[in-house]
Amino acid sequence: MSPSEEKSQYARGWADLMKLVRNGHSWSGNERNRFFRNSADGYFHEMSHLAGLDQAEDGRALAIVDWDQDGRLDLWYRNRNAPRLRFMRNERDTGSALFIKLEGTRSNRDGIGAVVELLPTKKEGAKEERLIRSVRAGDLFLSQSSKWLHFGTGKNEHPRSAHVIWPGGVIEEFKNLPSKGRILLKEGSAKAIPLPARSAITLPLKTSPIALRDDGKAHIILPARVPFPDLRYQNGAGIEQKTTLPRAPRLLYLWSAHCSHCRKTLPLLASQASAFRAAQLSILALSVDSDQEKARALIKSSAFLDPSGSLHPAALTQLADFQAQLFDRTPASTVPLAILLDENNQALAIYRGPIPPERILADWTTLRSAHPTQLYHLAPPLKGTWFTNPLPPREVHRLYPPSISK
Amino acid sequence: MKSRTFLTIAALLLIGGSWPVGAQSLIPLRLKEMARPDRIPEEVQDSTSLSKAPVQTQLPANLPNQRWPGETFALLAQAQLTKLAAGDVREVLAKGFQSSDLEAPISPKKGAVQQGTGGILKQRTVQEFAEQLRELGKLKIKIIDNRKFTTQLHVEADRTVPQRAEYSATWQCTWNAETPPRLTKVAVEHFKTISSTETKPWMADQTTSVIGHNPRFAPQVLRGMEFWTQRITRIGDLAMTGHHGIAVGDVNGDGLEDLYVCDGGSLPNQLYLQQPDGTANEVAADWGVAWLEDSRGALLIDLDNDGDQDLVVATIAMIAFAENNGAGKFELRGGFPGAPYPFSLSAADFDSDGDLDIYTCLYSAGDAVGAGRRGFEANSPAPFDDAKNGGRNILLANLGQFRFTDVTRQVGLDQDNTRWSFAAAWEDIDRDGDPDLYVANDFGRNCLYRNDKGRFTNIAKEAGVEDIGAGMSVSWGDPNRDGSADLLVGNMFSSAGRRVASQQGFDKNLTRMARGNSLFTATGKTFQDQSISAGLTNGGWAWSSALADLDNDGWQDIIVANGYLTNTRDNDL
Repeated sequence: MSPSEEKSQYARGWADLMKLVRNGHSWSGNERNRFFRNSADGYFHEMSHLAGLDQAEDGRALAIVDWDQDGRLDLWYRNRNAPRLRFMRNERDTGSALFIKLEGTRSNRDGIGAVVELLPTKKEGAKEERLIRSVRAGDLFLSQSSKWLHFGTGKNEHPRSAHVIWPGGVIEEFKNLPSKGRILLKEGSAKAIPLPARSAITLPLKTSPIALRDDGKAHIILPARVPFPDLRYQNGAGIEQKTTLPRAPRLLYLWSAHCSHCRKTLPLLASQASAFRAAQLSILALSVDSDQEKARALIKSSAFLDPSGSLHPAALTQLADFQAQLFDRTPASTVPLAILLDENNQALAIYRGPIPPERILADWTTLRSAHPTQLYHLAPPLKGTWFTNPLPPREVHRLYPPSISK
Repeated sequence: MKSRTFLTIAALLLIGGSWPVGAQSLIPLRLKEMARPDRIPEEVQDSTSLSKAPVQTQLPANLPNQRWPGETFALLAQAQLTKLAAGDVREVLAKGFQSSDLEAPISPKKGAVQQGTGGILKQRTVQEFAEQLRELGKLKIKIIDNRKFTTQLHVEADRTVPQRAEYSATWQCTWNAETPPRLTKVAVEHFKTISSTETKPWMADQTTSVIGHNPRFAPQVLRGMEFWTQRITRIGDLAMTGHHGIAVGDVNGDGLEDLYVCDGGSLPNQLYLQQPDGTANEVAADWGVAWLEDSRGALLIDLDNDGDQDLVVATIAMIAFAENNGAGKFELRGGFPGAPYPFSLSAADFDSDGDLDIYTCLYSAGDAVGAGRRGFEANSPAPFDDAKNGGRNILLANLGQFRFTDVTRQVGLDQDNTRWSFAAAWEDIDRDGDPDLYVANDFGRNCLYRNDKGRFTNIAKEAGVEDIGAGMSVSWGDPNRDGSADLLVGNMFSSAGRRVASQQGFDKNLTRMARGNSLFTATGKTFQDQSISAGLTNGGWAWSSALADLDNDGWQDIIVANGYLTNTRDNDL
């Protein structure tokens, strides 16, 4: 296989797999996290279940830290799927540990890069294995663990000495260290400073966090004006038309007679017709049903007087394309679905599921004249701050052209 | 826009100038990780409101199994094995089915490890085999090797009665030619049962106790990427892969560790401040760091040696540097914009000048190739087992006053520097006082750069740590307690990868790519690959894989965070 063939095969294979994943398949998913215990003879026994470290989320980052300072290492997991954080507290009845913090004076203040060897006590003879740890900032994958060095000392209660190789190579000896607790070693001081023990803390809840169910509803403010495809539909008189109105903003409301939310929303929209008119926002209600008679009857019984019709089947594909282009995980195509369009047929907001007409009107008031920076700041669903500027509109148009009409 | 930015940086370097970072240099680089969407029409339902589209039971025709024929059989067999795992064996066993013992009778000994083979095959009835399975506990079965009609399985089970135990085994299965295939034989090649008399697991999930009271808990912890990537657009820089890191450090100097959490584009990063009672309050907005830019790795370190922890975040717009003002706020001092596809960060004082420098992994070269083509579609790794066309990792030297400059080339780190790097970690392996650097690369060889007074040489090959594989994480430690630094590399263990690679058309390197985690122990100037003999390769699709001593016995254990993309449908590729 030539490199270019291999490259295109890889790209194609990857694209095939991602296509499936975007539509809901798993790829090496539901894998339980692992724990391997060092059996001190060159072998590691997997005992994830016995250790309680066999959660099924897609793990990414991992931070190791004695969070509660009880002398045992706890774990923070950062996951892709919910729960996106997990705090696993160490409750094992273990031996002791000595935690050492370094403070550089000539070298960097955090002592990052220093290597510490806890020397064996003479009494134990030659069999004692060595304990060496080094200070690091950033390892594993996307992770930074605690800068406190951890020396598991088990049941050994003898005082010890330590050698520190400071960054730059200077070696310093610290004598008479305790076998457990927390101490600070300052560069050049040759003397350990013991730190007071933290009082034991109680964390009452032990129930695992449970991911929230996705009900499919969404109220999405888009971060930019996104070109929307021109969709074909048949109006109430059976005449084929396009959804784009020149220089006229509108709310596109897609519904089905089989959907109870839709049936409830139509009269609500009808009752707000004057408010929509006052806001210069027209409504176009399009049914996605093949049974057009039933749809027309429902429009009539809802007293819905704005333009309505039924969507051309090809337009469904364009709509699905539009959402698949915008969202990395393709949303299921569902109704009710509403799209708020500006006067240039650019989408400003997407509503999945029932949304009160008042919310849509309020959005319209905010969004109709919003400039790109305002949209960029309005879009995030949770409060935060951007330090960058938005994507320029010409870039949005280059990346998200409206789907080509079929 | 992008090429102009690079030109600016190149020009600055050419004239030997440093790259001063300040608020005026914040440039809106907008680069996405994921590929441009594939066009897949999905039917609009017209019968129900808001319910999900019906689950596709028929796999689409473009599954890779058409290219790798063995995969079709594997899918059929996997469906049968899923039934088996659920205890439903009636439709799965062929007439005259035979099996060996699945494990040995439980030993009453404390913390006992029992292992062996299943012994001779005996004919079993449906009821007998179902009972054998039931005794194992909760089962999970995965195909690891597949030649038609004979299949090697990795089987895991755990149980709490009669005592807490976990089982892992390799089973060799033989199938008949029916559709779907039925099992004729199950022979246990090797099993291991570890039982414990401890009544509870070592670790307790106390997430809710510690952070459950925060308003952000429901939307940002109990909602995953599946939810948000259907609601936040690609323009908002949110990608499905969920590569967002964490950093631990004491940001307010109260002696308690705190946690900074990165999140995807349009979702604010979080800062959890630990309270005296062990719980943690989310305060990112108050501290000025609830940034919405897609953030990957973060570090809490003292960049200016003033005694407090500053913050570095690898966002797709720039590597952002924020100074801890000692009064409850981080102030953004600027950023390095020449790193548009960052992953892990790792800090060390490479030139022993007393301040911390930052190494950034840049996975991909970005999306410059071809208009509108993104991610792997724009720029695929090639060759797959030895790709050198990734992003260029960057070492930023600290010039003081939150000024940094790219010194990658000057210090010799531009050798083998574009290999799709996910992670890196520093360790002074030769104990000469300056830190050496290991870099894990996703498609092939990893790098070990020896530091000689600030000049680097890649010695991965001589040292025996190239570790051809899908490298994703680096952990240094000393699990054999001989005093020298040993190395654990997180890699992909992929059942599908192993099955596909073991078929025709793939060479040995490609098979090695899916072997899983690696442990290298130091012996003088080189390292020895102990992965197989130490029994640790199968960490799943492993990301962070860590050496840490959880039971305080002085022997570092291994903790693995794994799994690639769990989704709503059960079909696992």
